Amino acid sequence: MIQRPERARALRAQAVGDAVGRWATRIVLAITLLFLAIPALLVFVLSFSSSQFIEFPPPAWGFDQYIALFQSARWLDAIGVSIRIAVPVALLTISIAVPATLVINRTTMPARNAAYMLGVSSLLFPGAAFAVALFGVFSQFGLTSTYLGIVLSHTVLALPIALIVLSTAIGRVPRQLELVAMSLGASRLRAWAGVTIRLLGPAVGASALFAFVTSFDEAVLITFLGGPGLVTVPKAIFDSVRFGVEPVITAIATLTFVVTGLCATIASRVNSRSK
Amino acid sequence: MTTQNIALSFQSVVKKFGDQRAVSDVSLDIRDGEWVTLLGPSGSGKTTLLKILAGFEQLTSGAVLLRGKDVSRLTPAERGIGMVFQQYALFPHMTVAENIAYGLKMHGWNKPDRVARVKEMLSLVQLDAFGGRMPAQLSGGQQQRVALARALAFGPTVLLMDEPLGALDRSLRLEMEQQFRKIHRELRPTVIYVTHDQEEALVLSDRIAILRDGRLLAFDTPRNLHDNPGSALVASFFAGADLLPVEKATVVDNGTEITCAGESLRVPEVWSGDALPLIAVGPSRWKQGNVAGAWGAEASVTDLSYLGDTTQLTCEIEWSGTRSITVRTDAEESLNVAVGDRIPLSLAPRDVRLVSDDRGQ
Amino acid sequence: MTRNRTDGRAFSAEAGPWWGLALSAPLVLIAGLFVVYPLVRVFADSLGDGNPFENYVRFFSSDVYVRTLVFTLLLSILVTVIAVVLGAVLAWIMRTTSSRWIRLLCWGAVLVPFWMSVVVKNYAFTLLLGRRGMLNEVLQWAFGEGAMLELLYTNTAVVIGMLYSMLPYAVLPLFVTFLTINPEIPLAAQTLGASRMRAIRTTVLPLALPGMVATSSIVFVITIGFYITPVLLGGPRSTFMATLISEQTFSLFNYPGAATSAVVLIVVAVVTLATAIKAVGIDRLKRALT
Repeated sequence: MIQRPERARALRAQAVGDAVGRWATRIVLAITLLFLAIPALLVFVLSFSSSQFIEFPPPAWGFDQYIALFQSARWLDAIGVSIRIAVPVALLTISIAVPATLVINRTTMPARNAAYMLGVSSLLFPGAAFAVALFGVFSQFGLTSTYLGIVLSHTVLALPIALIVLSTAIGRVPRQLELVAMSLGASRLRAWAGVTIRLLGPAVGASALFAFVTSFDEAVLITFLGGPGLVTVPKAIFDSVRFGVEPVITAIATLTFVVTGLCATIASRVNSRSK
Repeated sequence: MTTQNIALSFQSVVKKFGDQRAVSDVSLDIRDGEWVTLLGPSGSGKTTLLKILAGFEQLTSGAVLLRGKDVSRLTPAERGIGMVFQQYALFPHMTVAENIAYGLKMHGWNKPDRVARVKEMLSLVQLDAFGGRMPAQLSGGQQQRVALARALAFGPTVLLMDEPLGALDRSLRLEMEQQFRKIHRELRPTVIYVTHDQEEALVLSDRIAILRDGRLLAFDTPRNLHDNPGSALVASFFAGADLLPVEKATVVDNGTEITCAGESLRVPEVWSGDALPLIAVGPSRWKQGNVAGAWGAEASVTDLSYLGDTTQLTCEIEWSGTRSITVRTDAEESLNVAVGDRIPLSLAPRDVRLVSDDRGQ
Repeated sequence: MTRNRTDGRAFSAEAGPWWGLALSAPLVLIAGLFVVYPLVRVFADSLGDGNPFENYVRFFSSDVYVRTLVFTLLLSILVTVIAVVLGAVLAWIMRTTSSRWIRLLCWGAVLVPFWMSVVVKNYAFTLLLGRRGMLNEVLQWAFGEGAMLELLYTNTAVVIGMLYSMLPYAVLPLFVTFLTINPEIPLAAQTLGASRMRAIRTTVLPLALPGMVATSSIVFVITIGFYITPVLLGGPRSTFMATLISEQTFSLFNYPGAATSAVVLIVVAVVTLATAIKAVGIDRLKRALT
């Protein structure tokens, strides 16, 4: 082999550089992972502090914050509002997204890709601009500060995720199954309902959960389009943080975080188990 | 065999993943210019050994020496090895010529030398006109050849190949095997070839190392492995032999007296082990009919496959219980044999091999 | 109920276009009303009654507005770059590591920001970065009384907060991109004499570039629309376009002005996406979105 000594030295230098690079990458990775985890951990830990103020480390432990939370009418109302919005949003989203996915994947309608892009487009609409645009439209239709308005706007926001999840899932359902059902005498509708949609079950469940979570956690639209009777949890937290910091917030924050995390994990587990 | 022409050597290499031993105490000395195949099923440790050699895995204990130098601390780039991967791993965004020239660039070759060498390598693999094409435009076999040319371009000491023919169909595989042999004859690199396909190993190798569950079972030329397996596992998996038990084995001058089921046979092989050996009989060793001076047995045919030149019979014989054996005979000879027939078989003493029973390990 | 197909048409796996029309009606209706129509309307509203570009002239001649726009864009670019770089490192490690623990850890960490509402995330950062926040406490414990970083209500805090939200949006599409790259490729490059860094730089990076461009465009477009984070973490000096828009809507009751600002943002988003599509093709973008 043609290897001159200076080549060997250059390769050695490279090897050292590699080792340095490897350690640098590890450090960067560690810092990034810590960065991602710490905020969540902090809120979680602080929610079990029994102090009146935010202190770290907590002087004493306890469930005080959670007790205060569940005794506070304000927060309980907020939770109720959030749920009363998020559940219809989830249902509405899947009742729109499931037929739409069938259109995109199982029909020959010419503009079906455009329909998909249309559904997904709200994801790429810059948040604040979207809020203002909706504000204009809502004002026109008298939907500002209405329950219906919020539900509709959240649905539009949740649609992209539902469409994406369902599109991926339906891609895994072989078309043959519907053909088989139809050759056995079922009408197309029955084939879809009985076979395809049933197989999409986990994905539909996952989409519903994601839609629920999206609505529950949503803060921008509610600020622009909401009103007095529509204080959701995020809006309440937002107001609290702006105008004064109460330790109870750690409890509600942890709660929402844990619930969302659980929903998301269940959703993806359910979805991937069906693969 | 002097130390000078040992191109590379594995010394008591052990690799553990957690508590799992992927490679258990493997030692191999490989000569310059030799083609050695690591043969074994998946999980046998052959790919791990290759990765250790290349530098992509660290061994747990033992050493790997290239030309007498311990390379365990060297990066893959420093080891001067060439490697052909199972999925070719060609750089999709570079042309064929740029792919081949990559190694030359990394080793500091100047432009005119690179151009000349790339031309040389393209000729070697008979892809002269393909320099400007992109990998995606090539067929599987062509990509394979480019991968080979790329690996050999900068003149590595050792060439590693990780099941390169796995993704090709049969006729292409046979063609590529011939190509490999031709290139090996011309350039004489030291080659370590990994495969689970016995036929490939037989066609290509100077010596074969049989691995199973991380252990080295045998390391010898294809002929020796076939004719003198030495161990039950090698005999049954490599040579396809049937294993028959033995009740007593006594060493007599220049041979061993084997006793089973009341009958005795004297074989020319001297058994030197402590435990009882097994008898390994390859399918083509059984002869039809009664031959004097040989062990006879009556076999009842349970299955029959016509293979063109030969016929393969699955039979049952009485040998300390009913056993199933495979017999391969000339197609002409077994023209009239049918399933259910009882045919006489003979086994000559010199066709009997004694092997140690390593099946339980 | 059985049906006899006497019309000679074979079963097709796909339903005809009329089905499509019927089933997609809800989607089209809702997306049309609440995405397309608002878009059109806000455009129209920004043009106003008089001279069509009057509002825009007003926007661009106002020092404050222009500065806000530039500020938004620059900060978003910064966040995008950091997010994509860190995201690429993370995604590559997730793609190539053989350790199940590291992969699980990375996935978990990457998904954590997704589970937190924007307000919760920023709340956590107010706790961390404030004067008496946790970060300063740690610094003081390590370096003594004097060590203190006033991070809250600064641009740095906003960048950190946005980075936190956007990292997952960077990692996931990048991971998908890396899935399409054969991990043996940089290994092959190493056997040919390249160091690990050089191998990745010359063989993986060119292949990942289109995916990285697509991801960057998505991250950028989402970042310029941020509202909550700049408000909670930025304070009065860090005005984002979003804060501007909300001021114009709710404090100044200047809806046309707000519409103008919104359109400016939308135009930036559209231009970014169009450039990305032109550069790497719409398929890449679609793949990145999954």
